[in-house]
Amino acid sequence: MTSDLHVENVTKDFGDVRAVDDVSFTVEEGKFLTLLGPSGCGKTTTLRMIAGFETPTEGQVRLGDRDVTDEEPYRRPTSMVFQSYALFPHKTVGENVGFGLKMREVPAEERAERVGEMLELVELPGTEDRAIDELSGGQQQRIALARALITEPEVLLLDEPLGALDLKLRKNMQVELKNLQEELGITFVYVTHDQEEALTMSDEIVVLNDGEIEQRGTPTEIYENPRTRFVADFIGDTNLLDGTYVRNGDGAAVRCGAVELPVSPIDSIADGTDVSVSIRPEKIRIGETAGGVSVDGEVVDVIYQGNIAKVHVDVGGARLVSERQVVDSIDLPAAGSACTINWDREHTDVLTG
Amino acid sequence: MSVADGIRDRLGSEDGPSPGLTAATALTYLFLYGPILVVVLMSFDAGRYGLRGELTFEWYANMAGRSDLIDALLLSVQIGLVVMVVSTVLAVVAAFGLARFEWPRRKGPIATYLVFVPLTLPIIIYGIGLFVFFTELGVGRGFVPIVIGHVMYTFPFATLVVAAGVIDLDRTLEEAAMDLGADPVTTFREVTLPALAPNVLAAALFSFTLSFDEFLISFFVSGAGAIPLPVRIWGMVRADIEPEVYAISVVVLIISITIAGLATRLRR
Repeated sequence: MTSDLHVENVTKDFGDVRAVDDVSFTVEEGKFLTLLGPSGCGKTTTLRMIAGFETPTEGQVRLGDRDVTDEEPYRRPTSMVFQSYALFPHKTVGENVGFGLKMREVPAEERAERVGEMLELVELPGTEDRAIDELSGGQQQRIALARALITEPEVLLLDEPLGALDLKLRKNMQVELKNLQEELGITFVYVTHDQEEALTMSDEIVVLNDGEIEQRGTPTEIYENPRTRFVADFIGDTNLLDGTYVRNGDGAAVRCGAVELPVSPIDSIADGTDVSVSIRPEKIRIGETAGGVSVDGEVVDVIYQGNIAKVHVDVGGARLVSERQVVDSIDLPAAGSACTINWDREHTDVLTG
Repeated sequence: MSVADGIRDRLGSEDGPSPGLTAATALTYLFLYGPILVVVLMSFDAGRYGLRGELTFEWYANMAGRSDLIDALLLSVQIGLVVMVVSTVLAVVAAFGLARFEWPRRKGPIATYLVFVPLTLPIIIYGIGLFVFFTELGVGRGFVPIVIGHVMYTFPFATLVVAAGVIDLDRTLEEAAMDLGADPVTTFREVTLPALAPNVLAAALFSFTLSFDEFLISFFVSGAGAIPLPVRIWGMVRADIEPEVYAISVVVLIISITIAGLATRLRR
């Protein structure tokens, strides 16, 4: 029996406010899924419904064949790592980590042994008798993780667990968490508003906005082929242009002001529909004309950022940003100079939402 | 930083406070503690109605030999303990009710207001009301009416102290416990109550000292068999001053200050 996690048509209302609106997704056993979105998008509410702290207004949460929609949080085989860690301040590190086992009436001796193993796993061995407030933020984070993992949950739920750590520690922990997840083979459902974190760690990303799913897919799919304006804008930097989709014979294009960008025909879009296009800055080359889409313009601004430079180019009133690696700063174009920019046709993403 | 330090900082003075400031500070504290100082001095002075300047321990010795005073003291302690337990248990329940219950629209603030309003009402009215009530009921005066009256008086204070803790309590701690398999009862025992312990203990100690010192309610509902110490003390100065009153007052003072100090420390 597999214990895939199914969230099916889940809706949650708080009074007049619809926090989550008809959200469905499945997480295969052992996969790392991230719920990504800005604050207030419903990601934490969705996680809390999986944990059992909130009951869906409509819809179902299932673990394998087991419907857990209305099951109490203390009966579910899920564990949660809280944003604030929620470590019990009046208990020692060992009592915190062992709490779940104590609740399951595991004998003290075995409990101590497993607490020891778990502390080793999170690289804080021998800290059983320490008080919680003696630990640094990063150490508390590890203890929270150990406490959630010791009960061997089928699904580990993580609510922005790295949010309170400084940037460097956060980067390290991202990699460590991902490695740990692969090593243990436990399903992770991870909530974050940090798109880079989501891209780094996830097998699959569900992008939420205003309680609804905007798009779901692998990190590459989400980044390379955003389907809505929101996704293109929220994940990574991009050039967004508004235009009209036009069919011309076998081909198609998006007309943005004076510029016409050729795209692959999309049957689901009618001729004359208003659409947006997204072109990632790093896809745009400067000074090449071979193949793909080429547009003439004028360099407006060059922003040097060390390893990369952002070249702002005006093309018939629209402004496109090209991002390039800086190997030698002498190669950068000068503001005011004419230039041709060029990118592969498949890097023009047509957005309908 | 003390207030004096703050003022000094503000004035930028390096050579300490001015004589005027020192005098004002001294007078403030004298004003606050003068009457207490008088009673303490009188308890060691041979004078009955005023300071005579002769050291004596006679009043303490007399007091120790007066079983009516010792009985009244013990009764007050007993009442205080019962009031403490009842008032604290009620306060914990009420605090959770006020802070956690999902009250229908605008009923929450009203419920809270109604619990705390007695803090501002004249106690003497409670005394009169209770006296009439228990007389009508045929219960009369004594231990139980005193305890009930005192609980009415201490309950809002105790609720205030516990509710402050409940409001500050991090709900995710309880969620974490449930997430790890603790049912609601276990969660309350293992996580909620320990986190609230300082507030609950402070509420208990406040309830005790408020009851221990209470006079007005006791005055109306205490009877021949059950006279708590404050009422007894009042009796000792009504017609003529029995000087043992100074000694027993100092004992009451020490008990109250100790407990109030403990409670204040617990509340951080």
